[in-house]
Amino acid sequence: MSTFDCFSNMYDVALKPRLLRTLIRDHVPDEKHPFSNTLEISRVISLVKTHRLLSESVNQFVDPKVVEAWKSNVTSWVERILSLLSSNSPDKCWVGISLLGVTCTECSSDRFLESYSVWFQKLLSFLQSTEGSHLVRVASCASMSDLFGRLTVFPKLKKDASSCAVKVIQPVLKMLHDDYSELIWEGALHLLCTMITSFPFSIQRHYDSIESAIGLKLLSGGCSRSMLKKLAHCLALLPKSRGDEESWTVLMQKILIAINDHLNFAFQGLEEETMRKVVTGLLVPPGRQPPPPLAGFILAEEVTNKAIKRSEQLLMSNVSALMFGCCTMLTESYPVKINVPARLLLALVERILMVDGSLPQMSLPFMTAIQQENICSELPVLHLCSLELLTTITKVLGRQILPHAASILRIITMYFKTCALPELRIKVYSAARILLMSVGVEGESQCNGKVACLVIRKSWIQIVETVSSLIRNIINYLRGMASCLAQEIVNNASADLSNIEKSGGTVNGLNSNASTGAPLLPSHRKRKHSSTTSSLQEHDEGGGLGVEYPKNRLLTPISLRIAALEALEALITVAGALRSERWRSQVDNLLIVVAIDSFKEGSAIEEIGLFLLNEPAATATDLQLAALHALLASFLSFNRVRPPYLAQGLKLFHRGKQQTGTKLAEFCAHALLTLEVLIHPRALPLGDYNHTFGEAQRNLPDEYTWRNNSTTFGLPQVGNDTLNTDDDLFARWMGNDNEVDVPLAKNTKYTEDASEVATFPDAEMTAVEDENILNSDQPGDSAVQFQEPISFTTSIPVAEARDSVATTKIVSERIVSDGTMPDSEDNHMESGRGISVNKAFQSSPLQTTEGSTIVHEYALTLNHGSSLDNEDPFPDIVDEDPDDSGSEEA
Amino acid sequence: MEVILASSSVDSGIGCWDLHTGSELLRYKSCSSPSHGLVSIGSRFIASSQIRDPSASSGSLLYWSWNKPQVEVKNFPAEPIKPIAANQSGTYIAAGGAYSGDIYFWEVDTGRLLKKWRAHYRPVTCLIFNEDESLLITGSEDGCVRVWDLFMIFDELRSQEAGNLYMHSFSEHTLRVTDVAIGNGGASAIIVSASEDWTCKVWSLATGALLRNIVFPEVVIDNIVLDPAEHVFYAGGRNGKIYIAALNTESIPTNNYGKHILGSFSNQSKAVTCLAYGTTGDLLISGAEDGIVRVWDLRTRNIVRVFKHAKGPINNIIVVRRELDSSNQMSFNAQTNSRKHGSSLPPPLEKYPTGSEPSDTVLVSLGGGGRHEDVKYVSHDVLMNSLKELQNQGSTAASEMEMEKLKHDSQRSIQMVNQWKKMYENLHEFCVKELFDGSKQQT
Repeated sequence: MSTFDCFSNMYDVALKPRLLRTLIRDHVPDEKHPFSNTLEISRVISLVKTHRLLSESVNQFVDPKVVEAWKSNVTSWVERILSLLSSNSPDKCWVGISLLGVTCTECSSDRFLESYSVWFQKLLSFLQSTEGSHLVRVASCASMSDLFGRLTVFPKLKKDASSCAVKVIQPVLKMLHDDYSELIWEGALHLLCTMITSFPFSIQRHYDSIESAIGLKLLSGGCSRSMLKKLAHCLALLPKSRGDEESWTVLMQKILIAINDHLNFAFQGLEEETMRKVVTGLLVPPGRQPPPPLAGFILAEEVTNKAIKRSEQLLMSNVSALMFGCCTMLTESYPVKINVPARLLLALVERILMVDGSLPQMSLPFMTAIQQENICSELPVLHLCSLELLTTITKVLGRQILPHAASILRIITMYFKTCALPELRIKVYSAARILLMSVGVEGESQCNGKVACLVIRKSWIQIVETVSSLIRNIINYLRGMASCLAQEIVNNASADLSNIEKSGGTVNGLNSNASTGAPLLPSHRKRKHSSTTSSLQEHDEGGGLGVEYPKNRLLTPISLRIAALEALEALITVAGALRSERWRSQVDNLLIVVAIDSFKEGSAIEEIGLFLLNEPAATATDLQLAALHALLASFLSFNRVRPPYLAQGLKLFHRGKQQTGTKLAEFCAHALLTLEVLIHPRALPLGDYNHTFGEAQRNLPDEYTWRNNSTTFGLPQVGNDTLNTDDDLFARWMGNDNEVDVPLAKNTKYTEDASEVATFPDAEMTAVEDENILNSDQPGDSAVQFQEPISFTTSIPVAEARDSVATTKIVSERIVSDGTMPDSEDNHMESGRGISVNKAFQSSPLQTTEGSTIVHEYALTLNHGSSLDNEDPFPDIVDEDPDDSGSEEA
Repeated sequence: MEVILASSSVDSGIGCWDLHTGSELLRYKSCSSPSHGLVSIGSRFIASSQIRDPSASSGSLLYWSWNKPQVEVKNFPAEPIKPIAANQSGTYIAAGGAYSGDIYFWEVDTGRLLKKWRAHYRPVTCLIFNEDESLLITGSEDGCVRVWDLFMIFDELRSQEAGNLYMHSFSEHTLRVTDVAIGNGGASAIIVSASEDWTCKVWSLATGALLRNIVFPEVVIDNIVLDPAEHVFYAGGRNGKIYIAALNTESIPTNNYGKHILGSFSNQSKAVTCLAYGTTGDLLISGAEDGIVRVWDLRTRNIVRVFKHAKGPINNIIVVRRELDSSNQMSFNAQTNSRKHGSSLPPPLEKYPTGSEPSDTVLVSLGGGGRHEDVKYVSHDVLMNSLKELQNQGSTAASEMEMEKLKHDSQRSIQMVNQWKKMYENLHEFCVKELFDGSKQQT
């Protein structure tokens, strides 16, 4: 290649061999040149990866010369690497090994197949040698596992690869056993995991030795937490290599026994005997032999002896690692179905969660204050793990949770009452949320109500008893915290910090919770002016004044608030419509307030988020997003009346949508799309029933024309939509009663009538049982059918036209014409009376006096006609409100 | 592929057709099912309750696997079973006793009878799960429709506290309930029930209110199917007509049928005995007393296919999607081949509950059962980490701090050394002095 042999552009294949050659010549170290600049290596690798310099992928149009050049360059690249491998200096060795690993993943299949066995031998020799620097060993583990990773792509090589894999296991185990660097262990574990998942046959013979090696490492302590997690993960994967139910079950049993032993030791004198007995009984069913302990007999002995001498801290870190292993075993995929010991796991979780560090009366003399202190300091971690396990169980059981749902619910509710640490609360929330989702509608019954109360209660004060006051507290809490944050940051950053520390550090929060809760209440009362119903305006006001909130409040971590919001969202999603009267309005109120606040305080919280740094995941934006998610759920789950805060909510969504490019905007756009269906509801017929039937069987030709928007009466079809959507209309009507032509007294009467009228389609739907009455009812009925169109139309002629042609035929047309009306508020025929009433309200300002009197008259006839047979309120599709209609009748 | 299964009360097996090609598939042998007595368990296999001898004191419930015409598993519950229902994933079977009005609730994979409870005074005629499988809706010969919260049923404590187990009990029907259906919408769903009293009734799940009562013109409705958008529902009458009744749509009072009935279609056949909805293509599948399965296009209301099943009346039609299960089936077979049973089907159902305690273990497939994960290469990351470490060597804050500490230490050591030196010198001086003085005195 001459100096001026230029290539066309950066995509030209000819570039690649050249570039590779340059890299080899100038940047890759060789035996002669000393290796100094580490930056060069990373540049080489990034170039190789970006331009896929080793891929040798060409199509047939490429000049064969280029192909040849590329091939020879790659060959020289490989040669260079191999020469580096045989170098004496460790750094060059290390570079060689690392580059070989990258080559394994990047090179063409042909080249890989051709030379993998050579590479394998080279790497194996490094794995087997006991000397060599840490970096070399780590790199050889990584490169080896990549080599095997690449091998999995070729199923044909399975057998060959397995025989290679067998050779690796022994040195890896040796590494685990001999070395004392976590980096090396990490590499070795990763290699082991690759073997377990990809080449299970290679594991077979070494299954037990691997298990005991990892078990020993796990239990003997001296590893960091992340290392423990990796060990537990690898252990949990181990049964996959056999893939039968038995090895899974045995390993699970071993792990649980190990956990239980640790707990028995740690919880001495802290718990009731019963729980311990239950768990132990379930662990080893009577009449069965327990499996050998996790790390083998002798080792286990040794380990437990050591452990007893060591601190509780070690115990706890072991337990948490083991529990993490449990979770991994439960979540990792497994080839066969498994009998998950759900009851045992739940009992274990319950056992741990029941221990809060308090001493039962009887065991006082057996525990010193220092012992108690030690245990209590570790309990939160333990609780966290067991909550995680609980969440995992709930997820794993999925739809098969039924037999255990009750006990899970009990555990959660029990724990809600006592739990005070924010991190733990977050876990509880998520557990509760998952439970809600998996038990489904049934949650509707009080159980969800219960959870709802608890979900709400936990964050707040336990003293208060009624649900409503609890929720009001929450409202204040959530909102107050936000404003509090803003103020703190402005005023006194250091005070803030101490606050945060305090909130993070409340151990055994019952007391601290109560004490911090106490100051919260009075201030809340002050602001509330003794009002019992918390209206939005008030909250708004409160939000505005929020800057003045006392400083001595605990800060709620954002993530906790997010978790609370998510739990509420789940609750609304699952049980929003069912027996929710007690808590619903308060939750809705809470949600809109929080959402509005999140927009207000957003920036301020962001700052503290940056300031904190230890909570990088949860920022104010996340909170905002969570709030809007919950808000959307609350809007959509309304089915009888219009969501009271729809207007505000829409505004928020619009505002959020403007922040282009953010997740928030994305979600807001989605929310608006979803709400559009709420605003312009539609029933979606499969075909045009009325049309086809009308044409074919019943001769209702007018209908067809109406459907085509050329109505005989010139009824503007768009009218429906505009009336429905315009929220302002509603507000205007409510605000300007007097402007309506009808006198006020009459007006109120009219509204009553209107609501009566509005409900009538529902009455229609509920078809009075007695057919006779139905017939005699006909005039009244037709009048009813008139009512609604009138309430929607804006012109007198329409009303007149209707008046004059009150034949049944027309009636049917009219029904059709406003046919979307009963359905319109909700797709699922949940149009409730409340909605209809709203609509009547909305539309009425456009009503002329004449129109409304007509309405009135018809309503009267309607009443007359219906009073005979319809003593009862007409049940709505979804909602009925007996009181309401009763008074109307009167 | 979507498959129609049809069974009859006389023994003519279970007919099986591909809904879209119309080709007949396997015919599963020896099945004479009662109405609502045929289900597919999570698309894994077919189950049907049997009525051979109406007077017999024991009945059976049979399983067929998809690829064999013979009965594979025979279950003998404590009493004959009429209606059965399974949840979508096929983990539970609920069944109604033919004599007692009891409901049996089995876990399919283990065969355990998890619960049995007294649901109605008279035998249960039909039962269904709701969309999220948390509720069971049952209709009975006594005209009662009840909604059961399964969560409540399984919560021993709460069910003991509560006066009755059911969530709603609708007793407005005066005669035997023939069919029930529930719509979508979670807690806001509606329930539609049909009865021999010539009516269909629409109920609200949330409030338990009767929303609508639809009187059919002197005809018993034996089965109902909801339109997926719940715009209308289809009701099969004993006069051979399929009525369209309004749910979420305007109704037309002036027709020959009565309120809320939008129309009907029929082909002058005998009584419509069962209906099913084919989700792809909006097809309605009806089975009639004359043993013929008709497939209607709901848009045009024309018959698009006709399958001849048997001489006798068809009383069950179900539509099953089988796409998934071909792979499922294989993995299921593969995993169970290793078992001793040699059968791909779960063990028979238990006759009696094993105890009041909830079962200790739950048979689940973890993580979706052996999905293959993508290979994750690490050497690049490891290399980068090591490089970073190498680059950072000597410049990190940590080593700086270490340096400071060492400096500090060395300073302290130097001080210490000096101190010791001084002490030594003092001592030395002292000793020399002593010696010197001593020798002086001696001399």
